[in-house]
Amino acid sequence: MNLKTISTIGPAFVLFIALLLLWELFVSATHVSNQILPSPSNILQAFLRNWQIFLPHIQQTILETIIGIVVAIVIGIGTAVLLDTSIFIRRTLYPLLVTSQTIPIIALAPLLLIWLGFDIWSKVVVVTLFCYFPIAIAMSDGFSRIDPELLKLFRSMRASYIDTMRLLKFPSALPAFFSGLKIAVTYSITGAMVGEYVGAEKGLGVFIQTAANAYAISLVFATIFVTTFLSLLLFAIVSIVEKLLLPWHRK
Amino acid sequence: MGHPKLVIQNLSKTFDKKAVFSSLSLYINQGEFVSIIGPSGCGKTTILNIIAGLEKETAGTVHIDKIPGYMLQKPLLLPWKTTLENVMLGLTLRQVSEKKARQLAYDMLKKFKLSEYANYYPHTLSGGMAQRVALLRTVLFNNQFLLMDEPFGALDALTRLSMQMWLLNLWQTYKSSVLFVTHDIWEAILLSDRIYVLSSSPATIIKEVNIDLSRPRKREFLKDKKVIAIEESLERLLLSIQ
Ligand SMILES: Nc1ncnc2c1ncn2[C@@H]1O[C@H](COP(=O)(O)OP(=O)(O)OP(=O)(O)O)[C@@H](O)[C@H]1O
Ligand SMILES: [Mg+2]
Repeated sequence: MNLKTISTIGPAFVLFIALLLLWELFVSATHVSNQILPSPSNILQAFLRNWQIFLPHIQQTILETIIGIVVAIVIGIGTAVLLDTSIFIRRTLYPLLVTSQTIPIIALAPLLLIWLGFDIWSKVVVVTLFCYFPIAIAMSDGFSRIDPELLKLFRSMRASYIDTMRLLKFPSALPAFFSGLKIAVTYSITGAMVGEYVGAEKGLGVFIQTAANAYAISLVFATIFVTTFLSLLLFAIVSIVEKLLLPWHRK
Repeated sequence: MGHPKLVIQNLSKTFDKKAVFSSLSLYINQGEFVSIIGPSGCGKTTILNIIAGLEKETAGTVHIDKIPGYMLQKPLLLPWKTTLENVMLGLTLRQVSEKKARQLAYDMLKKFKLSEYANYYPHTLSGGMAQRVALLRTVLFNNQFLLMDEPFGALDALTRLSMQMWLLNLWQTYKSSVLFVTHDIWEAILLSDRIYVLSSSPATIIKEVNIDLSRPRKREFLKDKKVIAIEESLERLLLSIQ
């Protein structure tokens, strides 16, 4: 890690630690019960004591999330390519796509459970539903924001559709794709948990329910922290891949 | 001179019932450098677009033997590709093998003394340098017939001058035929064998001027009394139609 990265993420990190400290102080000063609001150190202990129980649930949720994201990427890019083929198709599909986003996914989750069963696929689909839209829209906007003069240049050299896609449109839309993907991955873990909440045997969504039913409040909090950590981790991975793939985009 | 490289007869173009130009006839001989000047909006870019096959004419005919190389005002280099890869773009699009395209592009960079920039990315190049790279990309696509739409319009005066000389050198190397659009009368005189002057829209050709200056052209020519007289008459003409 070089000085520049430290200086960019440093302040946020310091703030985060300060908030945790404040929380810790608040709990010990007010003697609020562990059953209402456990302190951060308490949550950490609970996590360390139970991490072997945690692990299979974490693995399950990660698996659902990764498959869901990959499917969303494939369908999202496919949609963007389709929207790009003609203005007519774009005008027809784009409003439909936006409207579809107003359907509450949480209301679909029970249906998916009925259609796809208790195993992993109903959750994968929920993750995909959460992630698909930001990817499709970002990629599509990336396509439509390409400099018309560049398209003119390609047409003047009689570039084929495939070559225009491969050499111009995809690389141009990559930065937009990554901003969409970053939004998508921050939702993705939550998406998987929503799916699990509705019905599953394993996963963080199941675990948090079990913990809450048993009034194991520090484990509920531990699950929330794990979820947040996993989301941030995914975000960081996408950011790193983006930096590696788009060296020209770093100004 | 051989047969002409480009023959346009009675060309007309109408956008939404509005005639941009009508019944234009012009030609370019093999190896000739021809410029078009005219007021803004008279259809210069549209003429080049029609020749390049990007737009359809409303009436008239265009004869060319091969798809021309088309250079625009912006360099339009792909930011994720190096100078070398940008120069080879036209070959890649023609399905020339990667290895051969690289070799040809590198030879081209070397010939015009830009090989040290081969692995630079566009954002590290100056405006003039980027436009040189764009010109080489165009020439590697077709070195016999070039369309240029105000290619130096965005450059500062000094860079522009060195680009003009560089272009003439390149043009003489390949004996290309060039159709050059510009707003700059001095630039047109310095570069061209012939200049077409268009009126404002609906445009027609109102004058054709031969520039009988020796080659290679030198900047000092622009101080010549005869040249100054041509420039003044063209300027008067352009002012009168605006
Ligand atoms: N696709 C189009 N649809 C409708 N009108 C157009 C289109 N392209 C150009 N025009 C119009 O045609 C006219 C000529 O445009 P063109 O760009 O060819 O002019 P120009 O001589 O190149 O101008 P400039 O010197 O400013 O570059 C303008 O009035 C322009 O608004
Ligand atoms: Mg123009």
